[in-house]
Amino acid sequence: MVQPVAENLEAQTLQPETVVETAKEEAAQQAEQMAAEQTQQVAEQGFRPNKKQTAVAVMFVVGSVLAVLNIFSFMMIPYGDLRMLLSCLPKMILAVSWLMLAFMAVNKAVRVASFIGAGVSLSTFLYLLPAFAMNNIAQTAIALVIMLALCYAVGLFQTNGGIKGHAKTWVNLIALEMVVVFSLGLSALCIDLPYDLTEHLYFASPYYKFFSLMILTLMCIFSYWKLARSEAFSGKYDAEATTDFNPVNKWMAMAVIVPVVITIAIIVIYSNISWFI
Amino acid sequence: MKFTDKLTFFYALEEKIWKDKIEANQFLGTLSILFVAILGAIAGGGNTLANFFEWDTAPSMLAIVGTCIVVWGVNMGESIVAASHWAVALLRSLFLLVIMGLVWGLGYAASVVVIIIVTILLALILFVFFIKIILGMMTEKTYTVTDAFGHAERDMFGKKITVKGSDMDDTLRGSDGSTYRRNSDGSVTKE
Repeated sequence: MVQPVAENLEAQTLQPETVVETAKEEAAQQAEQMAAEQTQQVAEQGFRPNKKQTAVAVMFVVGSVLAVLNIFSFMMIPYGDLRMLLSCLPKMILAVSWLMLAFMAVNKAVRVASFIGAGVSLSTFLYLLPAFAMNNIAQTAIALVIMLALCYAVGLFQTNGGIKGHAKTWVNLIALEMVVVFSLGLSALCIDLPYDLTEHLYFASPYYKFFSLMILTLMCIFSYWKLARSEAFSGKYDAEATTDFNPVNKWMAMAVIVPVVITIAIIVIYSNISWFI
Repeated sequence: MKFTDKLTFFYALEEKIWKDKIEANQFLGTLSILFVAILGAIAGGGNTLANFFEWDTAPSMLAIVGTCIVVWGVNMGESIVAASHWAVALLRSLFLLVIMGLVWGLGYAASVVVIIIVTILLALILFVFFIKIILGMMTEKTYTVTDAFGHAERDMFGKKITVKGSDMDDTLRGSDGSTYRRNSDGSVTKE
């Protein structure tokens, strides 16, 4: 009667160890599965931005929203130093954000493009000079330079930044907004106004202002958010990456074609003014 | 259907047509098309109100067409950078031009139709209102006769005297058998 009991005891003492071992194996398998699932999720969802990028993205959004709210400062605050400061503040925030992005770039091309963005943001100071502000031609020339610079920068982001997914489509809007601004300036210079048409000018009408403010500008805020949180600014600088600085690309083609087409269409419409009035 | 699906119907359409040859923004195309439709509605509504009622609502068609051109130009720029081949960009621009023209006309027509319907409805409501007033004036109603202090006049049996007649009658029949004449201030005098 003794032996079976001892056997039973051994069996009882053995069982928990095997259970523990199998549990450990199962846990290890589960952990492996979880890790595999996580990598799969990352691969499916795309790039995961770090906290620095999110911080810069928040700065971009704050700067852009202030730039939109700045419209109301022109209604409420009289002309003077305070209003000048308020009109410069959003662009200064954007410039600082661009500079912060430049130090998080993944390669040289993206870094150069970020510096271009900072320069474009600071170009608002040009408009403080009375000589530039007085002259439509000078303003349009500045807009042309800014547009070409931004289109080149966006081209650099797109070709060298490795931006994937929907973020790629949003970044284009940053250049598009400036293309529209230059198109307005160019078409306004090219229209030969036969008589006072102030209320018939499309860029002075509330319709265009609504489109520019409520659709383009608001969507650009999302664009800045997506750009700052994209793969191009993950912070892992690769000095030996092959970069493409060639300015002949789709974005520069857009900068040439769109203003020309818009201006030709506007000239056709405005020179046949008797169709409408 | 989710709200974001409603704002991306053009994106779904172009994904079906060009599949992976195009990589355009989800919202810009659809929002532009909707904006052009609103411009058409503004043009149609403003012109119709100006023509029908001579209100000062006629919009500047020059400004509206110019804005439409700029909106189309924005989408053309997006086509250029989003397409993988120049033919796709050209086709998408032309496709958008056609769609925007159609949608503009649709908005114009829809606003005209809505204004006509609303005008007809308002006219009908006013017509029914006046008919009701006239019918109400023609039906006979019963009033209690009171004195200057608001106390009801009573006949010899202690019953309240009532008068009957429509708003158009000069003389009203009283419950006590006599005739009452309506005065200009709304009071009645026993004849």
